[in-house]
Amino acid sequence: MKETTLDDLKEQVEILPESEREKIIKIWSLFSASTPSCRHLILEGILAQCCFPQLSFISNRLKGIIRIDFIAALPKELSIHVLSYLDAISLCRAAQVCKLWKRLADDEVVWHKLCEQHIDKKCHKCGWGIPSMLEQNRLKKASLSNENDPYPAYVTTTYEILEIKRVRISDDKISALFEDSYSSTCESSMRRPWKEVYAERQRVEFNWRKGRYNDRVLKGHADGIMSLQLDDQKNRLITGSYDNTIKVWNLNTGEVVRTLTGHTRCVRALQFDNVKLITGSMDHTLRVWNYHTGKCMTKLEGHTGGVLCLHFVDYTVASGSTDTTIKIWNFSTHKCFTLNGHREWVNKVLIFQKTQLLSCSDDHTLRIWDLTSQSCTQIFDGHNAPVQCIQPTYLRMSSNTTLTTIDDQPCNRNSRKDDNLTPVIISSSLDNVIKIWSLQTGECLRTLFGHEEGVWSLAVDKLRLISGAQDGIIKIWDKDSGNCMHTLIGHCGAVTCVALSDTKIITAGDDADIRIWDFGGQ
Amino acid sequence: MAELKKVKLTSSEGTEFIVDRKVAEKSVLLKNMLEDVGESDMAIPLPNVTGPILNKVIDYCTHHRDDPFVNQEDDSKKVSDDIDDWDAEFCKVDQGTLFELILSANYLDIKPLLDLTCKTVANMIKGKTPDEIRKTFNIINDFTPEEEEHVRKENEWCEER
Repeated sequence: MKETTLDDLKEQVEILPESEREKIIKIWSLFSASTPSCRHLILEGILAQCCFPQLSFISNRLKGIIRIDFIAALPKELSIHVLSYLDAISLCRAAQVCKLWKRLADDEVVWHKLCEQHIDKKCHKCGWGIPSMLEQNRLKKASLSNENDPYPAYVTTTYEILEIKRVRISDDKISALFEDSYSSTCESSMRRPWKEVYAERQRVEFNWRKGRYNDRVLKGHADGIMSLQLDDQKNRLITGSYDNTIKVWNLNTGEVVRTLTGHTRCVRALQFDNVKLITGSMDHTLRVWNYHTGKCMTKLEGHTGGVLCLHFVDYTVASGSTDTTIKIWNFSTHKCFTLNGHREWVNKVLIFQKTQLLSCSDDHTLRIWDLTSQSCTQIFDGHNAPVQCIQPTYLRMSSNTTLTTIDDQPCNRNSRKDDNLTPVIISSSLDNVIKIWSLQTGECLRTLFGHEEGVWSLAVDKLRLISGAQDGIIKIWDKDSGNCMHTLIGHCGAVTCVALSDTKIITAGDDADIRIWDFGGQ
Repeated sequence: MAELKKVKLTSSEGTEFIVDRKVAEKSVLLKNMLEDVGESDMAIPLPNVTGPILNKVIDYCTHHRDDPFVNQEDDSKKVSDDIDDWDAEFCKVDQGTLFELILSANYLDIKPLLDLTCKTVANMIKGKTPDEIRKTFNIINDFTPEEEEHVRKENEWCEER
């Protein structure tokens, strides 16, 4: 509706007879010369004399006239307060209204709040989460400016004297060194507008939801791959294979940086940090490597069967074996003890809360062990076949533990959920299912059906669960709802190991191929 | 009983309002004033608030007199679709009144009323195209066609599904 100005009205009045015209103009000027309280009374008087059609006329006219540009008229902090209630779409549209709205709707404060609500967690307003890539981007820049990694040489000197304590100290020194070297680049990347950060993350999240990815295959191993670990921030991937070797890959180039040889049978387990790599093999040993030089620093012997899995935290290394035992190796006390209980192969071990250990076995069970008392404290019984993989995580459970649904759009309706983060263990088994267990009660909260063959491998982050199966099929699940989002097909053999980052899934298996499914594209 | 004490307020036109102290104390500004002044029969002048608006504000504070006092801004509560029926009805006013209510809630420091009124404005923006927003609030598009196209491109990502 177009607004009528006083000048427009004067034109209309011009065509009236002289007497009429003078009357109207007089009424207007009397009104405009009146005090606010008189004006009030005049208006009341006019209203009292109006008939209904006239009142309707006033009422309709008012709707069009009383329009205020709140964002321009309010003090800036109040405008920002209003805008902070908007979702991303509304803010983007608000930015297209006019110059002033654009300035305020693009404001860092507003977008920072949106980022806080969504990045690396699910917003409890809309059930949306977007990946946290800040650290990654920051470090990517750093590694670009540091083509020659400063620390291999550093590691060599300290690592020669294999004493974990020294290594730890050097580890800290290295990260300190690293901080210095990229502080300038990191600052500039931190200053990226939050809106841009949000847009980038949302694009990646849409790629995940839509199943849009670029894939590539890395070839190099001569036989099936049984273990892998990804460090996406450093573009590093390490794999262990039936060909008895370990390969360190540069993910940017897809090339093998180094092949570590020494194990005499299949490398079933591996874990690395910034300085060391520990591997476990069917040759009954664990080896500690400086993977920057390729040198094997030490060998841990004690298992009477193949080493199937390992996990280290600080000074403690846990390993599980075909000899049905779990061994705990302590690098600060140089002591080792054995946990007996599983009746068959121990497929995964996981240290948590420093003194607890979780394990799963071919005997169909999961067990929790207390490392202080060296005893089994809980058994999870429910799978009908060997349990191949376990992952600890938190699950957002709606209060009645029924499946939660996810909205199609961020923040588009009232869907606040209880912020109920339950610590859980996710397990996968050759009985084709994935089970989610409450860590506190040991109760099986949910069983995920979908795979048609045994599930060998799992990876999990705050938003997603990835599983790889005997038939080469990989599934992406929405972690909280347990819904299967996508199925990835490509491998022509069992997928024995999977890794997950904010933008990628990396899978490997019996076909000796490594597949990279990259969801970070434009 | 302090709670039963009455407080006198004067609007910008000089109209006097008598309210329960408990109702007046929903306003942090008045609460602090009353604490500073202590026992007094003097009317508190509110030169920034007109009578009709003060009337609305008192309605709001009376209805919410027993609500618990929320001290800290809870960012997790930044949702605009959690308005209850009474509040929604309360906000069914013309834009002029809503504007005055926001300013008064800010001046009188009544956080829940400020949040409610700001949410109401946010809900008027939500779900609208830029042009619908301009119509709703009588805003003139001051972008040149080139700028408009640029800004549209810049914000295209949010429309993608």
